[in-house]
Amino acid sequence: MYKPRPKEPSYAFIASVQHADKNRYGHDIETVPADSELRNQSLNINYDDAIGDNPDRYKQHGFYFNADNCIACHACEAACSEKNDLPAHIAFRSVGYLEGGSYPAYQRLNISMACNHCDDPVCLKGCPTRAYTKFAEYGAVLQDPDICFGCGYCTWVCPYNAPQLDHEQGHVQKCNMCVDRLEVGLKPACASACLAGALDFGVTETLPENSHQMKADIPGFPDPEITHPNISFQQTTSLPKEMRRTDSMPIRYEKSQHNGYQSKQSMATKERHWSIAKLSTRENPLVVFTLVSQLVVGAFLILFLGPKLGVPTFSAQANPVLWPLILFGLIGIQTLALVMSTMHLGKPHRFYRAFYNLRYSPVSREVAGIAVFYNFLGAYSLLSGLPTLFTWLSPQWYTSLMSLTGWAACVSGVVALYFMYAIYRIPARPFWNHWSVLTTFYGSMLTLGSVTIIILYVGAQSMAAQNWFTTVQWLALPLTLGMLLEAGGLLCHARYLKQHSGESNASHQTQLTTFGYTYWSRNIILMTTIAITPLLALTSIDGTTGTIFWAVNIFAIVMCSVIGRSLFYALVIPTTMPGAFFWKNKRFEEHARAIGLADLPQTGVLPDTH
Amino acid sequence: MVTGISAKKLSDIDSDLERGVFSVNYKSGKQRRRRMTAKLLLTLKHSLRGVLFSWPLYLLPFSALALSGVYTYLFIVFLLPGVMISYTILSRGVREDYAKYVTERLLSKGYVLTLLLNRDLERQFDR
Repeated sequence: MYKPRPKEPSYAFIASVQHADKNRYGHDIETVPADSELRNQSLNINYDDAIGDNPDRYKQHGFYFNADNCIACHACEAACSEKNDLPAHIAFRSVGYLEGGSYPAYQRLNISMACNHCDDPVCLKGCPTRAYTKFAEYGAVLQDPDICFGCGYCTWVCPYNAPQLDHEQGHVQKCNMCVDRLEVGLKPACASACLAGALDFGVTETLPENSHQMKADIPGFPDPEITHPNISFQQTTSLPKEMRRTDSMPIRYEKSQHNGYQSKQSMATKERHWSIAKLSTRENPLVVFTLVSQLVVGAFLILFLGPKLGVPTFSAQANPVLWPLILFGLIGIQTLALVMSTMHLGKPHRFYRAFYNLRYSPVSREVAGIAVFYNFLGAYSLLSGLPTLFTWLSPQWYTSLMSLTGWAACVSGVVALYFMYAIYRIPARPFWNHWSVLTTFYGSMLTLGSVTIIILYVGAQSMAAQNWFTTVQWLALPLTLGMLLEAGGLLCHARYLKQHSGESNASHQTQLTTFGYTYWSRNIILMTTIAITPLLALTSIDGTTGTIFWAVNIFAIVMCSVIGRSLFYALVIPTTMPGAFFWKNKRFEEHARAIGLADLPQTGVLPDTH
Repeated sequence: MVTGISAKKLSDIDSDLERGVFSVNYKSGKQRRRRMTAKLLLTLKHSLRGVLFSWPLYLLPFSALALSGVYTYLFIVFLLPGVMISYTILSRGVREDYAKYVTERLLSKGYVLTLLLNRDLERQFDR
């Protein structure tokens, strides 16, 4: 059991005060009923079986932040780091700033923020490994780094930057509410260390001494409806109409008549750039994984369904050498993509834990979907590509088995891509949170699948001095359909982004400015290829001229997909808490890396090499 | 804590006497044999799990044999990195589990099942 210091001051203990039965979201503050079997169990902290004597053990607790009092001394950050023995590049709690007005009427709002141990913790639902648990004790949402495999999905879905992905350790860690201190009635280290009476802690919906306001919101705080956070605020000081972040996020907050402060985009420039280097992000393996998975599913659908829809060119009988070659080739590149996405994890050897949360996590469902598709693809390839191995099976059984595995691969492939899309429906990442992601993914499936089959069939038919034009004519249909699907979705997405404010609009402005030339080039190429593909298919240009035209067209389509997918990952602006000038500020990090400051362990910027 | 594996590691023990008793036990022939068995079991478990998820990868050499000619090399291009990375993942998994459940721990009756079905160990905080 945690040992309080001999002369622990009274302010370090949680005050016992009256509270309502339900919180502002209508949930019971009592976490479990009085007769629940979850009561009277040990938290087993450091293998200690003792049960704490805190009388409010089964009540939802939360932080209280009085913004009027915060002086941004960072004592809460320091206390947290010391208590949890954190390295310089990780902070469970951080203080960010918003500023507004101009000299002499300049005003700054400091916000200290950690995990809010939400009523509806999206991190818990999103985590594929089930590393998160919402405990009956204090309503704490705890994460076990020993289970986590470092995919970082919780850092995507949390709007408050609470889970911290440690690239050095390869796993996520987060605020643990200092449950060991709570067991003996002490407040968490951060709240105990607050000098100015700004940060407090207790049963949720209770007011600390000397505070009188219990707001659910504060300028810079993301929409509480996303996760139902257990935090209350006081902020009575009058602030300017517009508040700006001191970090490099292109977001400002504007006072509206009815809804407090709302986030708006704040791009400093309207100049367009290419920013090709910025297309390369940490998510590059996901660019490859998503594109290749869509390609493989699309190519298989064409190969399997083509002959059934009356296109004999794609049948196994018509191509005894090419057919198994393509099937096993698809397995090869799908393996490569799976390997890349696995190695992208902080702890790749824990990959199997991706299936642990099929009930809630879209990541688990996607991984399971792709794994099922991969297995059926393997089975179908084995049956159809190497029939000599199955002579012991009766022809009827052999045909039925092949048909079954083929259909199962088709269905599981399409379902897996749906789950792949579901991963990106994240309210805390508004740029992704749109149905156009689905049309883009299914569009890429048709486009890249057709492109793969075109390249392989045309190559093989050219080598055999056969006419390849009919093949291309057949495939022009799914190819054009895929591009139209993607273009339609992108158009609606752009309209949606333009009409909305905040992070989604900021992402749109970034794609029009920082990536302006790249974005428009991609759009122009996409529209051109949509027009040219059916034209090439209808105008019967074959021979060398046709080959050149098709080669250029296919190159443009592939480039379009790669650039589009890279933009998808590079453009997202999350609804994060405001950062400080030297902390959680992307531009400062870039600067620190450029001048070598990031190599010093005490700066808190993780060197790029890790 | 869990059947068959001591809750405390040698490094968790403060008392000198307790450490001494633990060390004598830990270095005994019986414990060594159990550790060796544990290593084999963990390797087997991780290998089987790896094959369960990546068996289509191992089809590639068969297909190369069936197709012959230049395609053989094509499949080796896919197969080799895949196998190498599978081996890396496997060895890391075995090492991590060994360090977590075997190193500096006493293994008693029932440890085999605990090692093979280690979900209760991994999820001891989940209720």
